[in-house]
Amino acid sequence: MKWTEEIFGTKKAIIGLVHLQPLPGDPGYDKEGGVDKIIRMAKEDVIALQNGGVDGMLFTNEFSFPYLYKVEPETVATMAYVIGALRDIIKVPYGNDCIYDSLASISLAAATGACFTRGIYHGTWATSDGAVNSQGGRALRLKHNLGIDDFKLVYYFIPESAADLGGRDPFTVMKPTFFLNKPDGFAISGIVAGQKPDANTLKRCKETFPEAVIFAATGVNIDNVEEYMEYMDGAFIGTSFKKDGVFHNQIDETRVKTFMDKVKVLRNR
Amino acid sequence: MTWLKEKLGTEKAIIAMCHLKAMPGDPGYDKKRGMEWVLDRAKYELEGLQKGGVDAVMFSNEFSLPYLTKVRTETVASMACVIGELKRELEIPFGVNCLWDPTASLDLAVATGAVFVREIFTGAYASDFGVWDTNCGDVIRHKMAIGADDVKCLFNIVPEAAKYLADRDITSIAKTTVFNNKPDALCVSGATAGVETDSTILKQVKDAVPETVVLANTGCRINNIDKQLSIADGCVVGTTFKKDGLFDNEVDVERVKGFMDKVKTVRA
Repeated sequence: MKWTEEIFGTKKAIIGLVHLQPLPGDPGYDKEGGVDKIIRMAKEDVIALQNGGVDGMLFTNEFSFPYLYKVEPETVATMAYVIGALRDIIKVPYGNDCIYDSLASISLAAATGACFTRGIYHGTWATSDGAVNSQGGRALRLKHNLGIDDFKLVYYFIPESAADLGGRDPFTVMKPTFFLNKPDGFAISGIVAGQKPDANTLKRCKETFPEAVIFAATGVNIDNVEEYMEYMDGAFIGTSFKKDGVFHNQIDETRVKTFMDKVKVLRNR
Repeated sequence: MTWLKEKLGTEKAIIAMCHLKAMPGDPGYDKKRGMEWVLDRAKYELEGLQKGGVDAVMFSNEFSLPYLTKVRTETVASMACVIGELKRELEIPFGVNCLWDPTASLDLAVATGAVFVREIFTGAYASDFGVWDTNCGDVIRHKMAIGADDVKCLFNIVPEAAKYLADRDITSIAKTTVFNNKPDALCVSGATAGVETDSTILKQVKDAVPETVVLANTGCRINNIDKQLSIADGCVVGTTFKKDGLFDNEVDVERVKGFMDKVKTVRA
C-alpha cells in the first residue's frame, strides 16, 4: 500500500491548499489586520475545505510574494503559530510548505506535526527567481535529526517557473535521484499556480517509475481532473477551490463539494 | 506611571517564566514523546502560573541547552506552534524569549502577538560559550522591518554566565544603553537562572536610569522579594515557582500562590 493511501485513506487523495495571507515581513502584510486576520481567514478556508470533504490539506505561505529560497524565520514562526492556533479544528491529515525553502518546511513540520510537504529536493534549476541548487542530502539529514523520519518529502519533478540549468531531460535527472534518495513522491506541476500540468508527463512518470507516488500539483479542476485520475495518487488543489476559481479569493465550500462529488464518482469507476 | 501598568496591568509586576522543554533539534529533545509532550507540559505550567495569580508570563526555550546565539528555525517554529495552541488558555499578557537570540525573539513576538521580548541586545562579553557579540542597530531595524514596532524590548544588561569584555562599571553601561537605545526596560541578573540578583547592583542601575523600568531578572524568592521590589519596578521569576525551588522541576501552584500573596502585601 502506498503511504498516501495509508495517510489519507484513499488511493486518489485530494489535498486542498490553505493559502495563508501575507505574513509579517512580507511586502503584502496587512499590519492593521495583523496575524489575527491571517488566522481568521485561514480558519474560514480550513472549515470550507473540510466541510467540502477534502482528504488532506497543505498549508502554504502562498502570498509571501516575491518568494525567497531562504525564507525568513519570522515567516516560518508565523506559519507555526497559525497552524498551532488552528489545530483544534483540523480534522484531516495536513502538510506544510514554506515556499520556496525546502529546509524550512522540514523545520516547520517538526513544530506542527505536519506529515508531508512538497519542495525542491533534487536537481539544479534556472528559475524566475535565480539559480536554485537543491539540498536533498541536507534535507534528509535535517528530517532525521529533528526526529521526523516519517515526514514525507514530495519532490517537484520540475519546479514551477523553472527549467533544468543544464538543459537535461527531467526523466534522466530523476532516475539516479529516485534510485539513491528514494523520494516519497513527485509533484508534477504546470508553470505556475493554476496552470494545469501536462497529462503526458504524469503518464510517462507512471510508466517510468511505477512504484512512485505521483501528485498532480497545479491547475487541476473539475473539468480536467478525469484526465489525471488514472496516473495520479493524489492532487494538490488550490485555485480551483476558490470563489469563481480566482487565485486571490478564499475557498468556496460549494466548489469543493462539487469537485469532491465528481472525484468520488471517478474513484468508484 | 510606567508601561508595566498599561501593558501588564500593574506596577511592580511579576513576570513568570514558562520554561519549555527541549524541542526538535535540541540535544535534550525526547523524540519518543515528541511535541505533544512539550505542549502538554507547557499547558500544565501555564495553568499553574495563571492559577497562582502572576501578572504576566514569558515563554522561553529554557531547556534548549547548550544555548545558541543564533537560534535555529525549528526552535522558533516549535515555540510559535506551542504558543498558538496555548493562546486559547492564555488569560494574561505574555512575552517571549528565544535564548540567546534577540532577532529570533522578535520574529517569535511578531508571529505570536507577544507584548514583550527579553534578550541581550547590547554589549560584548566573554561567556561560557565563547565571545558573545551583539548588534543592536541591526536587530532594532529588523524589528521595524517586520512590523514589531509595538513590541516592548527588555534589555538584559547583565547576561548570565558571562562578563563584559572590557572593564566598564554597571552604572556607565546602564546609562549608555538607555541613551543609545531607549530600551523599554533593563534587566539585571545574577550568575545564572535562580541566582539572586545582587540588590546593590540593582540599586546602582535604578539610580543611574531612574526614568527607565528596571527588572530584577533572576533569583527572586519569597524571602527576598520585598527587598528586590523596593528597588526594582518588577521581577522576572522562574526557579522559585518550581517544586522545591529547583530549576529542572515543574511549576508548583502553591509556591506561586504563596509568592504572589507576599507580593500583594509588598505592593500594598
